[in-house]
Formats: sequence, structure tokens, C-alpha cells
Amino acid sequence: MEFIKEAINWLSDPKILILGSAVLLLLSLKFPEKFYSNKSGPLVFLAMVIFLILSMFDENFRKIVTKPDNVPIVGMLFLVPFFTWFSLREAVRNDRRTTESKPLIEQDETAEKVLTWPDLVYTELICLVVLTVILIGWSILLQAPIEEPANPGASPNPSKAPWYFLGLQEMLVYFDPWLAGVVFPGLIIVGLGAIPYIDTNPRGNGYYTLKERKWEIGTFLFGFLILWILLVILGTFLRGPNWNFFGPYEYWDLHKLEPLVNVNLSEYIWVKGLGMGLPTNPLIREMFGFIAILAYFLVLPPLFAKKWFKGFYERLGPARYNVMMFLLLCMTSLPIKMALRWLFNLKYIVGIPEYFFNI
Amino acid sequence: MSEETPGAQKKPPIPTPAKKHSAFNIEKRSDRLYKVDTLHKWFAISSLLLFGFTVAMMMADYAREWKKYQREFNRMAIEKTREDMQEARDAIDKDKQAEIQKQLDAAREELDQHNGEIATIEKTLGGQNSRYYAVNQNYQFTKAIYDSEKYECDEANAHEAPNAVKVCEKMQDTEAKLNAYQMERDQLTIDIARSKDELAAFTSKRDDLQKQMDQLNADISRLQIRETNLNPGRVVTLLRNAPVLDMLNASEKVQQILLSNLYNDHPFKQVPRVDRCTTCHLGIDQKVWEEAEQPYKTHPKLDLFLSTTSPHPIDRFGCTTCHSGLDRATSFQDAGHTPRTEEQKEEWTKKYGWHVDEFLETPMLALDKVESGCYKCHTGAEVPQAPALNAGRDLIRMYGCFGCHKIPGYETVSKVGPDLGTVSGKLTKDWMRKWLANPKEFKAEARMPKFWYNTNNSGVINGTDFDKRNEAEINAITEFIWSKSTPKTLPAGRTNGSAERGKKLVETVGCFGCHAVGALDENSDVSQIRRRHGYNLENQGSKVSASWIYNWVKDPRKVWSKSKMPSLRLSDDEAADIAAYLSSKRNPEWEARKPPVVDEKALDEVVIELLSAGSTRIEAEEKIKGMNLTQKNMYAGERLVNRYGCFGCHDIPGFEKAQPIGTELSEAGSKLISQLDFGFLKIEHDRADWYTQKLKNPRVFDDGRIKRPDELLRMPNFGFSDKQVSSIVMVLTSLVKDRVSREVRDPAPAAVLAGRQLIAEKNCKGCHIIEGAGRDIRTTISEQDRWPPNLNTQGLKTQPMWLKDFLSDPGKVKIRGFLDVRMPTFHFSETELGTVTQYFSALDHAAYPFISTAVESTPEKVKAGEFLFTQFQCANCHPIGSTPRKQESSIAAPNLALVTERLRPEWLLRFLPDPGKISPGISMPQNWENGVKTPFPDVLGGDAKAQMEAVRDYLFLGTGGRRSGAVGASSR
Repeated sequence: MEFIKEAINWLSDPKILILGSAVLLLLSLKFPEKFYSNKSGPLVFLAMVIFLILSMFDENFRKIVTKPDNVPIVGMLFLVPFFTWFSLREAVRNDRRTTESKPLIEQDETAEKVLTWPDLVYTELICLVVLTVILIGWSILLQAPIEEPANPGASPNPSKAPWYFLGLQEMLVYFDPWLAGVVFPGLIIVGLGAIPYIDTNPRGNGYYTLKERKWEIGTFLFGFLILWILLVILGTFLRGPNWNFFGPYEYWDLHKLEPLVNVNLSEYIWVKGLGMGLPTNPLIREMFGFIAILAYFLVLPPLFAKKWFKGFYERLGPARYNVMMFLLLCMTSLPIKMALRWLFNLKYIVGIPEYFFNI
Repeated sequence: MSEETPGAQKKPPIPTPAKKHSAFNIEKRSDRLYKVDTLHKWFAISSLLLFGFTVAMMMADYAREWKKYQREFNRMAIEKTREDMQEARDAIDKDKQAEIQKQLDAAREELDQHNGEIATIEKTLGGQNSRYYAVNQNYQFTKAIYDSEKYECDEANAHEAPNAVKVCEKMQDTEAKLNAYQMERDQLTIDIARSKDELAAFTSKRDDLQKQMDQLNADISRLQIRETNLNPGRVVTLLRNAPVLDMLNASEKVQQILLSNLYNDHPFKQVPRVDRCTTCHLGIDQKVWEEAEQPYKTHPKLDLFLSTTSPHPIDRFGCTTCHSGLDRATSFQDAGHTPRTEEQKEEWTKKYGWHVDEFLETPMLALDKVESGCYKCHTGAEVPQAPALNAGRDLIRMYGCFGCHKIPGYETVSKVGPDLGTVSGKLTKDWMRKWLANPKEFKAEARMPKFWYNTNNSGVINGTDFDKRNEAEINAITEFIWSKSTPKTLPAGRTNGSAERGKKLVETVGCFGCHAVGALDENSDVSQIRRRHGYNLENQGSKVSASWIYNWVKDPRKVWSKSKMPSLRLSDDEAADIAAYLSSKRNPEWEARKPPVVDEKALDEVVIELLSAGSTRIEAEEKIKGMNLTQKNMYAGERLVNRYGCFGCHDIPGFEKAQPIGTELSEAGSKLISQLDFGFLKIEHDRADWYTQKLKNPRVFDDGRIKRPDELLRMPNFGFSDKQVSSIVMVLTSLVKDRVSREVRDPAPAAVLAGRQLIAEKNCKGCHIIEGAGRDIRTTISEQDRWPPNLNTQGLKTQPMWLKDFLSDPGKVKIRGFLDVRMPTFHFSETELGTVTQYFSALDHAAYPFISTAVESTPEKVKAGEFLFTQFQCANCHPIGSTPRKQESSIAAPNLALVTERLRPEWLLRFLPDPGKISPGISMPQNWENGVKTPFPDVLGGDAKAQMEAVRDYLFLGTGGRRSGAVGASSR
């Protein structure tokens, strides 16, 4: 039993969790027939329920999961996979039908009409009433977790953002606040708004399909599931006092210490690579970082346009292509920075604390 | 990527609706997915559910814990009222009731015969009353108009308005009308009075009787009204407390006390307290609920708290000011109740789902710790009526916690340990080495704590051999202290005394007010804490020479000018006897023990560690090569004295300005739990629990920790008993940061506070009872007559100047020649003499320092006094001047020759009626029974008060007190 717990604690380490989930997502998109079958959903669902029930016997796990603030996120743990599975299963079924030259599921369904009144509005009304009942029931059972008068001199440890911002808070582990707290959230909104203008693939309108939009769906799922939902889950259940990582069965010990041994790129190059001291001028010191960043945003798009994204470039044209690439590169900078941190303890690529400018 | 989507290719045709039916007749359309009937059913079910859940929500919102208690209390109150009513009924004189009833019936019968006349009068009266109403209204309205017109007239005249005359004429008209109405009203008043008189002629007899009857039943009627108020019927109660309607006048409601002078201390903001405790603790301030269960039970000390006549009325002080807890909470858990015992904790967990509230910084004080709530207002050296808290404060004073930690109230207290600047003339190095290793092995009552060989520095821990290291450290400190010490040259003391006589002297002369020899009875009913004020005298022979003891007891200040020990004015013989006795107390086992042999390697390790704290280890190793053993010891010694803070308790030359090393404890009671390191200890994360552990074993939080020797916890182990720990913890938790406004602070005047501080410092209460506490010495003196005096009413008793003279040299007069115990000479400074004398006067609200001792009397009165003095045989016990008491066998009493110069005349009038009241257990008889009845009714008309005055007058004016002859002044 202890061994299993240890193993799960080990697996939940952000490095393994994020990497493993990303690999799993890629695999599932590679072999959708296997992953999004009729059986797989209920099986995963069942496995999760069993996991939850068995884990409840562990005191530390129970403490975190049953905290009134965290209950909705436990719900999300089931809802998000369900809808992902459901939509992709529909997509798989549709793709199969297309290859067999059968009509799509949606076509079969829309053969019959639904009247707005009373059918749609009435069902919506009933749905509304039932959801209100559920919310009231919930509020009776789980009282709002109101605590004692707050003391700014003694803020709770860990101090957590509201659950929907925990992804952002997790990003703060890897990026400076001006990036993780200002630029990235802004870009997420801008990027989501830009999608209809960038995505010119007309297919998949009004029906589920994976085969015809594998790239679009894959990119979205990576961004949404791995870089958002997973980080929310991580922040909720696996980050304890001092924002240290704790496995789901571990006690949240206030005194746990983690070594802080991260170094900047400049130190890697000047001190470790060239064996000399850091230049005093920050611009010269951070020269390589700037080059790397510029190369990332300026060299990669044309390079990709020439080689791997040739089709995209042709279809989108230079303006759309470059906007897409910029957004895409920003998105991938998060996993890249994570990997650099995990592999090389890299703190900042460009680190100019003198001007509060760190990347 | 093709242009066409698969969906577009196979779009089915849009089905055409059936044409024959109107679009509104949806029931009959064929192209339907759902059946409306089914939807109706679902809608009905979900709506019912919504209704049910909404009701449930309201109920959940209204089902407050406190309502249950209020309902139960209401039931109890009704029951109690009914019981009281039954009692009141039983108490009524039944015969009298029947008699009045009979007369009442007769009167009514008589009245019936005059029905016709009465009806006529009543009719007239009715008409007069309605007329009066109308006329009175006319009068009042006219008056209103008149006032307004008067204003207009004044205004017009003042501004010389052209219409002034007209306006004022109008006013005069109104005035005439007003007068007419007034006349009419007055006439009616007279008529009505006349009619009422006529009516009364018939009914007065019945009315009188009815009144008597009502008076007889007054208690019952009052209780009936109370019962109706408490129980207005189920429907009314239900409606009053129904949701929404409860805003009008609910009977179940949150009770609160707004305390505008007492605050909750939030960061940057002081918020007035709002105590809602009485929402459930409903009977807390009513005497009748003493037997009730919690939460209804009466407060156990109503005379001191809550009641309007007590010093802490509930509407000014509330509850949480003293008890702590969350003032605004209305549930058992939120209020922050703290269980006293493990059993209670279990019971509460079961009953109320109680658990530790990690976010509440001020949980309620457990009932046995509640005294620590007093300190925030009562900041003096002594908190009235808080024995445990005072014991804790005494312990802090005696063990010198303030030497290392800043603790409020001890800023001026001098260091508790002896001077180390002259130690080499008193002790031997070997003795000191052995002593430092474990003081308690020398004597169990040693106050010096243990710095070495504790749980985190004995044996081998994490590869460090602490035993060897400790020896090196102890040796280095000893050598260093020795190097700093200059022995004082003292004359050779006499050592030829008798130990036997010495023992008797120590036991009787008063040493035991501050000292003890050997173990003290921890569980004695009498507090023994003040007998720890001085060092325990056990095994002195194994420590210092008889000659040193001789010099010390003879005059401590000659040996150490800052000594706190007073002089008992011992003769040379007495001093020699005491020296002989104390030096005969030895600890042979300890003497036989070998002092540790120092391992130089261990010393080197210590020195290198200390050296590298200021530089690098390489430099340290270089440096130590050039040091010889003495240099190493000197260096290590000095640094170690700094590390352990020895100068907190001892005077050490060169450390006069060193800063104390401990954590400041001024706000120890508000310290955040997160700032306390609980180590690997499995205890409740609670402030009091942490302090308890820390005091029991200060190093315990190092258990299981991997630390370098210089990182270890340093606080030494005092070996406190559980009881002592609990008292000190109470003091620590009392040091909260809450500020209270001046109005609610301890009203004791500054003179009293300063006096208490000095009294505590000088340990006066070791021998005397002051403010109801003290006289710890009495356990060592079997006869009560030989106890040192109770100083109750001292301020009213003695003349300030006399008291000052007496205190500056108690040896020059002997008030109670029969006592073995001597009042010591404290060598008070003038300021201190002022403090003490003023303290006693302020305590008793007596005049100070200029008083009149004049007594006005008549020769007859003085004569009567003399007669009474003889008759009461006062001289049997009281000696007068050099005249001894008449009866050797009787109990000895103070010399009366001192009366005129010593006493305030009015005090005698307070003392004589009941001497036992002022000094419980006193042998002085109560000569006037109950202070009022005299055995000599012929003297001064049998007036007890006049007789007492006569005795006083005789003492002050007659030969009683004036009889010449010096009081046997003590030669000592």
C-alpha cells in the first residue's frame, strides 16, 4: 500500500505529471480509436472513482480533497475528461462514418427538428430549475468556508489564488510576474479572440471530427488541458505551504525545504562556459539571452515556413502565419521554460533584476 | 484540404410542417421530439424539488445553535416562575385573605343598594369628562396660536414694522379667548373633582378592601405577568420567531453587549468588542441559576464580576475581555471554547463537534487559566484575586527570567544571581565546575538552571561528543570568571559557635520568611513560594566556609554592597552560631565527586568553532596554533558567557552593558502560532502548549534535529514542577498586545502599584499578610501568637512618620517583645521609605502624610476609659512601657506605651469592635459583644461606641499610653 502511495506521489511531481500528461495526450491523438472508444470513457471514469474512494482512506488526501474550496475542482476532475472523451469519441465515430461513406451523426440527428417552443425552451427551463436545486442543495451541505478576521500580518501559507487563477499562479513558478501575470494572460485572451481569423480550415463546422482538424484540436487541447486545467489541478491539490510540491498523500509540512539552486543563462555561459566573471554591464551580460529570445521569435517562423509549416504558410499568407506563429511560440515558451528549469535549473534566459526585467 | 465539408454534401431536405394544423396547436403537430405531457411532469417534479430545497435552505438558515439554548432557557425560566408562584401562594396568609374577601363581598352587597344614585353620578361625570376633553383641546390649540402670534408681535415691534399695532391687537384678542377657555377648564376641573368625591362616598370602602387584597396578591400578580411575558402562547411565539416576521419583535434573538472601551486588536485597526456570549449564557448574571447546567449557569463570582455592583459590571467589561475567544461568535465552535482536560475535549468533540480552530488567534482561555486575562488591565506587580497568576509572576521574579527576556513589569528588578566579581574569594574553582555541570545535584532547590547535559547536549549526538565538549566549556567559563574576579578582603569570621543554637536561631529569628533548608512542601495549603525568595540553605557547608557565612549573616552589605538580603541585627554570638549550623549542613556525596578532567582537543574544537564565527575556519585554525591553554580558556570563556548570557543573572566585570540574549516576551500571549517552532514534537499546536513544553524541557524542540553545536537551543533547564510551569505559562499567555483604554484599567493609584512592586521585591509577604496574602513563614512557627503581624488596615493604623522611622531602623523599638522573629533592617532609601508608607496609606484611603493625632475628650470620659481598661484587664497581656504585663501566663500583646506616637486614634475605633475581623486569629478578645453590647451598662450610659472612645481617650490622654518609661528598645 505504502509503495503504491509512494509511486503515486512520485508520479505527481510536476515534471512527470506535465510531461506524462502531454505524452498521453499526443498518444491519444495518434491512436484515437483506442483511446476514445465507447468503453474507454466509462473505464477511465470507473478507475477515477475507485482511485478517489480508495484514496479517501488516506488522511492527507482526504483533508485536501474535502476542503469546501476544493470540492468544485474535484468535480472538474471528472467533468473535463468526460467532455473531452465525449467530443473526441463523437469525432472518432464521425471519422469512421466518413471513411465508410455513411452520413454523419449530426446529419442523422438533425433530420428531425426540435421546436423552440415548447421543446427547447421548456427543457431549458426544467434544466435551469434542476441546476438551481443542485446549487441550493450544495450550499446547504457545504457551508461557505468563511474564516476568522483576516490578519495581513499573518497571511495563510500557502496563499492561493481563486481556483480559476491557479494556472496563472503556477506559471509564476517559471516566469517573472510581468510575463506570467500580465503578458501571458493578455495573450491568452487576444489569442482566443484571434482564432477565428487565423483558423481558415472550414471543416468541422457543425459536426465532430478529429481527422480533419487534428492540428487545430491537438493544439487547443494541449493549451487547454495541459497548460491550463492541469496547472489548476496542480495548484489546487499538489502545491502546499511555500508553494512547495506535495504528493497527494503527503502531509503539508510548513517546514519542508527545497533547494533553490536556479541560475541564469548568463551565468551558464560566462561563468561555467567561458570561465570568467559576469560582465558588469547588464546588456553585455545578458547578450546571449537577448540573442536567444530574438532568434526564437524572428528565426523560427521563417524557418518553419520553409520546412515543416510550408502548407500553413501558403494557406494563411504571411500576416496570418506570423501572428499564428507568434502566439504559438508564446504558448510553447511555457513548456520550453519548464523543461529548461527541470533539466538545467535555468532561472532566467534574460535576467536584469536591476530594471526588474527578467524573461 | 478540400473546399467542401462532408456535412455540406449530405444535407437532408428541410422537412415541411404538416399544413393542416395551426402553428399554435402544437399538441397536434406530428414533427415533435418530446411529449409535452412528460415535460409537464418533469417540470412539476423539478419545481416541487426547488420549493422543497428553498424551504430547506430557509430552515437550515434559521436552525441556529443558539436558538435551541434560548428555547430551553425559556422553558426553564417558565418552570422557575411557576415554582416561585406556587411558593408565593403558599406564603400568603390564608385566614387574612378569607377575612378580606368576606368584607369585600359585604361591601359590594352594600354598594348594590345604591345603584341608582351611583348611576346618576357616573352619568354626570361622563358628561363632564367629555366636555373637559373638548375644552382642554380648545385651550391648547388657542395657546398654540397665541404663542405664534406673540412671536409675530415681538418680531414686528422689534423691527418697527408698520403693521405692529395690528398684529399685537390680534394677539390680545387671542389672549382674551385663551383666558376664557382656561376659566372654563378650571371650572370643569372643580366639577369633576366634586363628582368624584360624591362617587367615592359610596365606593371608598370597597376600593380600600380591594387594594388590600391586591397588596396581598402583589407577588403572585408580578409573577403572573412575568409568566405571560415568557410564555405568550405557542402561536404567538411561533409567529414572532417566524422567518421575516422575526424582524419585528422576536423573542429568540442574538443578545449582545457593545463595549466601546475595549478593543479587538486587528492589524492597523482597533475594533470595539461586541460580546454575544449572553446569547447562550443566558443566566450568567442572575443569581438564581447557580444549580443550572451550562450554558445557563450563573457566574461563580458574581460579587467580583458581571453584577452591577461588582467592580466589573457586564455592560462595561463584557466577557471576552477576560475570557478571550471570538466576541461576535454565536456558536460553540466559533466562539473558540477551550477544553480544560482531555476528557472535556473528548466530550466536546462528541457533543459539539469541537476541534482546534487554526485560524483563531485568540481562543478562549481554559477555565483554569482564566486569570491570565486579568493582566491586560491589572498591570501591577500583583493582580488582585489571581493567586496562580501572581505565583507565576513571583516565580519569574525569583528565577530571573527577565535577565534574558524582556518582560513588562520587571524592568527595574535587580539581577537574581550573586555577584561573580568577587566569587574567587567565596568559592573554589572545583566547586564551580561541579555546580555548573548540574546545580540540582548540589541541592535539589537550586535556582541556577542547567545549561549543560541537557537533552540536546549530552552523550553523543550526530557525531559530537557533548560530554567532553561540556567539560571543556564549563572549564573555560570557570577559568574566565576566575580571571575577572577580585576577592574581597573580609575579616576572619568567628567559627566557634554552636550548631545546635544556630539551628534554633535560623528556625526562629526570621530567616524562614525568605529561606528554607531542604525541600519545601509543594502541596502545602499555605503558599511556600515566598520562602524561595532567598536561596535554599541546604548543603551550605559544602559550598562556603563558616567564616564567610559569619561575615555574610552579620552584615550582607559588607560582603556585597548590592545584596538584597536585609540585616537581622545578629549579635556576634548569634552570627557565629548560625555560621556553625549552616556550615554543618553538607553534601558528602557531592564533595567526594571529582571535578571533570578537561580534554584539550574538545576545547580546541570549541575554540575553533567560536573563532570561525567571526572569520573563516582556515583563519581560525591558524589562530589557535598560536594560543596556549590559558588563552584558549579565556577566549572560549568570554564568548561562552556571551552565548549563554550568564550576565543576565550575575554581575560579571566587563559585561555591565551586555544586552540580554533571550526573545522579548512583552507580547508573548499574542505571538502567532506560526512563529513558534514545534520541532518534531507531537503536541497540540497551541501557544500555551508550546510554552509548557518549553518550560518543562527548553531543549525539547531540538529532539531529532540535525544541528551544529552552535545552532542548538540555549535556554537552560530550570527543573520547574508542573504546577510552577502552569503558573508561568499563565503569565506568558497574559502578555497580550491588546490595548485597553484608560477607563477600564486597574483603578489602583500609582502609589499602590509602586508599593506592590517594592513589597514584592523585598518579600515582605514572606512574613506579613498584606492585601490578604502572604505570611508563608507561618508553617515554621507552631504558635499562632508568635506569627509576625497581619498588616491589614496598616494604612489606617500607624502614623506615617512613625512608620517611616520604624522602617528605617526597626531595631530601635520593640513593639512585640514576645516575638522571636525579628523585623529585619532593609536599609531602605528615603524614596523607598516614602513608597512603602504611602502605599499603606493609599491602600486604605488614609490621609498621608500630614495627619492629626489630636483627641478631644472630657475628664469623665478618660476616667471611664481607665475604669474599662482595668475592668477588661488589658494590662494582663499588654505591657506598658517598662512595666511588664501583669500575668505571665497570659498571651503576650504589643506594648501600649507606643500608642500615642504610633497609632492613628481613629484606627482604635475600627479595631476594638472586632479585632478578629482586622486580624483573623488574633488573641485579642472582642470585649464588646458583636461590637455593640457592653458588659458594663452603667458606664457612659452603656453606649459601646462611647466606651470604646473612652478607652481610646484613656490610651491617648490618660496615663494609659502616656506612662513614661522607654519601651524596651532592642539592643540588636
